Amino acid sequence: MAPVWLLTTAIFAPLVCGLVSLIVPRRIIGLRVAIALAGPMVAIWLIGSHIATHGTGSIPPAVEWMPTVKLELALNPDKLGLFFALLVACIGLLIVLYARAYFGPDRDSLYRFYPTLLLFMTAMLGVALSDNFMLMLLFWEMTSISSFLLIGWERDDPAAVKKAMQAFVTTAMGGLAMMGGLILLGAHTGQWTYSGLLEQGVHGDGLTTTAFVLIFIGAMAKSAQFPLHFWLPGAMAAPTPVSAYLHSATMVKAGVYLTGRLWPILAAAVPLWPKLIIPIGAITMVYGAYIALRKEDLKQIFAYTTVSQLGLLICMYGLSAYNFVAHHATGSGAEHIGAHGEHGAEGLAAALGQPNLIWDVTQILNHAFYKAPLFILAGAIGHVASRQLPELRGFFWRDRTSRIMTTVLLAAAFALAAFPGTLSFTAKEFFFYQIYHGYEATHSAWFWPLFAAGIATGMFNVAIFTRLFTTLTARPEIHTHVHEAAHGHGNGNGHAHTGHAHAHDGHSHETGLWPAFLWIPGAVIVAFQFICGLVPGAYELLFGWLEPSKYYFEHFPMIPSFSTPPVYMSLACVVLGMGLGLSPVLRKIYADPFDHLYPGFYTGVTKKLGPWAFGLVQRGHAGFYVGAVTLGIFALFAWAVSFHPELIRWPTGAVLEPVGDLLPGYLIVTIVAVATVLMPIVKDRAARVLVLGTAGFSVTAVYYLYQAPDLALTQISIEIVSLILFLLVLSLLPDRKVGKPIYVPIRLLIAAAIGIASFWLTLTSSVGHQPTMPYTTREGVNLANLGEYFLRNSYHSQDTLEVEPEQVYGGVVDRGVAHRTGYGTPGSSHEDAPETRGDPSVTLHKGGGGANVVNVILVDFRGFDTMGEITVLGLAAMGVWTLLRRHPRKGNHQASQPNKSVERNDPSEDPEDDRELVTEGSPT
Amino acid sequence: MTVLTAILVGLIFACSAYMMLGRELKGVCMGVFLLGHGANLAILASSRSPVGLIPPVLDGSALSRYVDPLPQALILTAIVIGFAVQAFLLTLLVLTWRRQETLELSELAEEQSH
Repeated sequence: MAPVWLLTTAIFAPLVCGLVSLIVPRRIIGLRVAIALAGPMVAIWLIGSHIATHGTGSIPPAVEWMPTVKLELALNPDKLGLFFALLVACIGLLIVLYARAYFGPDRDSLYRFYPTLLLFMTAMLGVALSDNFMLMLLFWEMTSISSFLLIGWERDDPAAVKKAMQAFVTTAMGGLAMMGGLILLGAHTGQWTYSGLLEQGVHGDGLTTTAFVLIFIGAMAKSAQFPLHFWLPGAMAAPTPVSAYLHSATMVKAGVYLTGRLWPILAAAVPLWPKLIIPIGAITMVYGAYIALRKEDLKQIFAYTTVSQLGLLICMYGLSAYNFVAHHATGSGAEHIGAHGEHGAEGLAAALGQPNLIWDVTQILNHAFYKAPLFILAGAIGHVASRQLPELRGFFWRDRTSRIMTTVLLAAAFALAAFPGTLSFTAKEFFFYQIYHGYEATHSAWFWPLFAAGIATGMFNVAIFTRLFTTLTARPEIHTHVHEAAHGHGNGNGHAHTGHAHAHDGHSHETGLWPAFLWIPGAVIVAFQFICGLVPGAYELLFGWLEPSKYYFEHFPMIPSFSTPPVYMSLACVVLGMGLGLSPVLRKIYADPFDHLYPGFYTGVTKKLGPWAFGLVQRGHAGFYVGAVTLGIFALFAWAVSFHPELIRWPTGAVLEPVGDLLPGYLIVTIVAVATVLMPIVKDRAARVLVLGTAGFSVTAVYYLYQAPDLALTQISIEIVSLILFLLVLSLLPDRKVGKPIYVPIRLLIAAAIGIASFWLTLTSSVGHQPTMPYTTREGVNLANLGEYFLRNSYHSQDTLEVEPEQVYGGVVDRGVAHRTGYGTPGSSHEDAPETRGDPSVTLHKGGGGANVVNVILVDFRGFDTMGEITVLGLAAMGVWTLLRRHPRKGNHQASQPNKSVERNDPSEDPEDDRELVTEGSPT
Repeated sequence: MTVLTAILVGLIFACSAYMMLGRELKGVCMGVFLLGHGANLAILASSRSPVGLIPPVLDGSALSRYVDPLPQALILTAIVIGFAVQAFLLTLLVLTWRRQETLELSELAEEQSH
């Protein structure tokens, strides 16, 4: 299989498995889990086979999809993309198992959960592997949608639905900004793929900077950067498997991933990159860690540490760019990072021998390795006991399960605190070293706050670990005994406590092997932290091949050594953090003030701005609308006149024909005119309908005069139906005489102004003034006369297809076409046919294939418009039907209906006509 | 023919605007329906005078002999959609009468404010 199709299959394998699982009956849980497991397994297997055959550098040839919107199936399986895809698939595999344990034998939840989860997996794999911007955007929005569905998992819980909306609106708005940025970047550079852009290189001009800022807003929203971070803690309303998967390990990394993708392209070319990214990342990092310390719900704590870690990752990309530029301030080639390397950062770094590139795979992997277990265990502990930290005092001593869970949780928290012996320690050292390195290179005073931020973040993380440790392993007290007595030991019914509605992960419990999967996935993942942290060379062996740019590694061994300044920073973190964790300060719960940002925004828009704007334009007075429209038309006309002064002169060639020359025209126009003038004068409702009908039928004749047989036919059929409709509806409406007409002079004045204006607009737009701009298409067709294009292409159009004239022009109509276009018989007829001016060789290709040009336009050239028209008709029909069904006549009226007993028609009948009205009978 | 049509368009627009400024919903709706005819004719007029031309059904004549087919295609769609709007508007009219028992704009506004 071609690589691009192989990878596409890998991307869509989870979704297909999810859909297949839907046809499995709900009670067969084992098979369902097996099918759900197959999704990520197939993806891993296919990606693995791709790596085995093609390595990690080759970019498969793209497959064209929708070239007009620059969408193509272009995949970029480089190291970063493959790493991300494998991360998504592997953690997804464990989450599938965990979800089975989490939901227990709850067949309905599992039935609904797996397809949604696997949809997300497909979307995320797509984001990771896409090379084309538009393709990536599609998958990006798919992740937002699946995240929305999963956060609002408890559909009956209004709070959860609200949080889901909050997350969706925030990320989707960021996604919109990002779309704008990507389109700007693509249009500006002419490259719509990362690989293409990397090869071409970019200039750091204003448009590129704007595009970068827009894209970064999207990344900020997705990766929960301050001040858009609030949705991520809110997303904890989701079931814990979702939190562990989407909102810690994978989806929230999409913004980080995007930043990493753009790093080799934009980081050095756009001077704004470090200036924007470093502060935002640093603030997010400290703020998230601080709030995390002051939460009591386990999931909230870990959500805020996730925010913090995402900030660190973003900050790191800024620092690397800063260091890179600082190193190249005097050198050459700093402008185009991407211009040199075949495979982005790696190639460039090799070419320039710079140690200032980043170590992003390690950082992302490190975070996934401790944060996913933290969430998994938070869910597990919530499952058997509670998620509120104060209620978990001495949880460790409860029973065997609690001891295992606490151990795994604390092991992951140990990594969160970045103690030596974990991969996390190395990752943090890299980060500190980047700060130190930047300071060394430039000695900028701006690095002091950054040092402080780094140490503060580390300190808070250590403090969080300390508090978790001391609380969970505290010797049981009286309080705890009471707690245990109330809820029983083990995982039997420990979740009966209902004090915190959302703090519990209460689901039906079961016995057997499955409950162990509440903590096994966490243990498996966290094991990597310690394997990589303790075994020298293990990381390099396992994951080193995925790292696109590993240039800090030479500086850092896997064990601490006191020779480098970052180690002192780590030491400060540990000492300060331990002290803070044991001390009584900062123990009170602190609510994130940004929690009010979205509700405030939402209320502001829907309750204040919306009604205000509505009241501004929707005054409820017909006079206001008519006046506004009239004024608008006049203003537009005046504006047009300022460009084309001839618009206020009587157009040349506009003459009223003598009556004798155009007798039918005058007759018919007179009839329409009389009917029109009678309309406002006639007051009797039946007479009025007849007058309107007269006008309509006479308009049919005008169409006939205008050589429009199709219009005439349509108009006459519609006119008949609408006349019947009117007569029937009229009987349902009152024939009350209108009271004394008010404001007649003003009404007359406005009406006259509108009449004169529309007369003039019709006249000037119809006679004389040809557009002066040279509207031409590639085919050389003058679009100023669009009708000519349709006339020429209705039957066939000119192109490079060589054909025998006889083949094309057989039959009656065909002969006519041959004459019309002059094809095949050059010079034989019609010198005024424009085509004969060009190349006389016979070049034809398929056109609409119909002689009736109006019909061809409707069904062929503008087929989609016609489909829209049919949709409008259908909607109107549904509207009529629904309205009449839902709002029956008022009771007192119905009581007096003589034919009330007439049954309603079959709803399946076409409601467009008036049957619904008829069956209701006549009013009194 | 174009000048003639333009005059007709102006007349129709004036009359329908007059009706739409009225105080009773039925008349307002009638004005809207009448306006549809005027708008269609205005578009049609842009295909220039049809005198001496033939319908846009290809029969071998020179291109310059056909009338412009594009306005016709536009109007064809407009007629059909106009009918859908008409049916919907009439339904709303009936419903308004059933629920509010008045079609006077001033009375409707009063009921709304209550």
